[in-house]
Amino acid sequence: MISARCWLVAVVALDVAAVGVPRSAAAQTPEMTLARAVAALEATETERGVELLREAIATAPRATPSALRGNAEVRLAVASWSLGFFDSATVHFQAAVSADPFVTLDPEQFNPDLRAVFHAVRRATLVLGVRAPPDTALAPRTEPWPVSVAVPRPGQVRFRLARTGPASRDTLLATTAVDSTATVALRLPVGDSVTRAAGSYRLAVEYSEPGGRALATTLALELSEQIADSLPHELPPADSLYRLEVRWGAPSRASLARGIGLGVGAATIPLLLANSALRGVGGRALTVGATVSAAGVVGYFLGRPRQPLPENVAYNRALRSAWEARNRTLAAANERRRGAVLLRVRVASPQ
Amino acid sequence: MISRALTLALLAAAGLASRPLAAQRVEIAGLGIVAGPRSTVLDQGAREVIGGVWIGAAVEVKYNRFLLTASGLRGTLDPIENTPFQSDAGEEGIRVGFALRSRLALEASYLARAFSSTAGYQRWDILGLGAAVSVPLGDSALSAHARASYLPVATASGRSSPSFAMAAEVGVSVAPRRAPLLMRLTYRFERFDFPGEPAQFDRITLEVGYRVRR
Repeated sequence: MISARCWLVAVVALDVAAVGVPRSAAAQTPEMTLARAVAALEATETERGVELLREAIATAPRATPSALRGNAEVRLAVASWSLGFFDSATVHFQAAVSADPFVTLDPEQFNPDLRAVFHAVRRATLVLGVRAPPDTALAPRTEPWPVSVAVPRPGQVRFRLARTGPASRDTLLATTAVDSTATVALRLPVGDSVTRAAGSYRLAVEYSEPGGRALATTLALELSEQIADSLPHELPPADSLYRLEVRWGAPSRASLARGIGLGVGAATIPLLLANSALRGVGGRALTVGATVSAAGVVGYFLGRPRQPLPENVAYNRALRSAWEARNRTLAAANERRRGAVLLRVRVASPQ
Repeated sequence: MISRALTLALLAAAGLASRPLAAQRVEIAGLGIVAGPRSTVLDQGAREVIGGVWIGAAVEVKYNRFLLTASGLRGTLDPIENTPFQSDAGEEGIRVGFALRSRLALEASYLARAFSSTAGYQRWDILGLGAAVSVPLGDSALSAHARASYLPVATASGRSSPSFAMAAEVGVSVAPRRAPLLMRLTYRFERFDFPGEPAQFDRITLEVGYRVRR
């Protein structure tokens, strides 16, 4: 039986070897390498997948999103676990949590033993994660600013906001108990004027667990005022979304019969109605009779009755009404936003 | 007998008129008319026939169920058979209709027709009561109509009243949906049974007009 230490040495050796990855792979982005690794793992080419995951991590620049790095480490941990490299899996889980404290394991996808290891690692890894919208605009005094936190163990999290610079006083925005991850709606203290509130700030997030361990991190914020833009009206629904409201029916034989019947009637009027002493065939009556009959034939071929489709008419009406209602809502919102001043919150950089 | 039938018809019309109307709608049409009339009279056993071309105009006003038509025609009638006389002739008429249903209407009409020639002047006054039916011919732009009238009053100067008089008419109309035009081709036949001198008058008429709907 190979000891865990030997496996760790082997994995480290593989890591070292991975530094010497051919330069041809450098042209690929970490995202692409990760995608290839996932494909290899799904194709049960575990060794190849591990190799690519290491390559993705090793070649990832510092600016690589922490979520990607954490994802790669988690997959590496799972692959190591499946190969029996349990210590190596633990190491990669630690790296994953350090890279992205918000990383989780899908309970539907992974077995309980692996999840237990992951949770143990997560509790043991003393790291505090904070996520905030990088750039957003809020309605001052009414709209909160959402900030997510990830903590290793249940504990208290405090949010303090202070202007940068000497002699600045901080303000406690919120204190909340967090078990693992949580999103806290912070109300930024704008006061009476957004203009006066504009400036550089520092958001301190402090975590403390009952056992006494504590962590803290800060975000640098830029607050500024922003005039609200009007919302664009929604385009009307595409023609392809509408349904046909009528269906062309079969030609009407009744109208054909009416036309021919009236035509024959017109032609025979002089014969049927004239005094017997004056009776005779009328060329003009024949002309009109033929014209009426011809019109009946034309109407038979060209005039097909339009049969309305009430369900489609109602559907189209509902489609139009919904669009109009949405645009009315937008118009009302624009009326409210006209001249409104928003508070723009931009995360300058984590500190 | 006639007055009783007229009374019944008017009562029926009044009863139907009390139905609620779908919508208030007015349609006015102005029409130019070219007609080819022909008058045939049996005079002492010989057929006298005159015919020619008349030009005229008409105005039709349709308001909900009511239809009012006024028309006038003028022209000449040339001798065709057994008569040497050419006539200047014309007629003016008015017709009032009431639609019982969308396709069926009761009508009353008055027509004054005059003939003037070297042989003399003759005026006809004709009052008619009848019904008209209009039917679509497949396409909504095409329709045909038929009209039958009893002519209870038909007087011609210099003649005694006819024992029986009636008129019948059949025509076809084209009213394009996307153009305010109206075209109509009609054949009308009138029969007058004067004692010992039956007469008939028929004509083919082409009407082209402009219609306005509000």
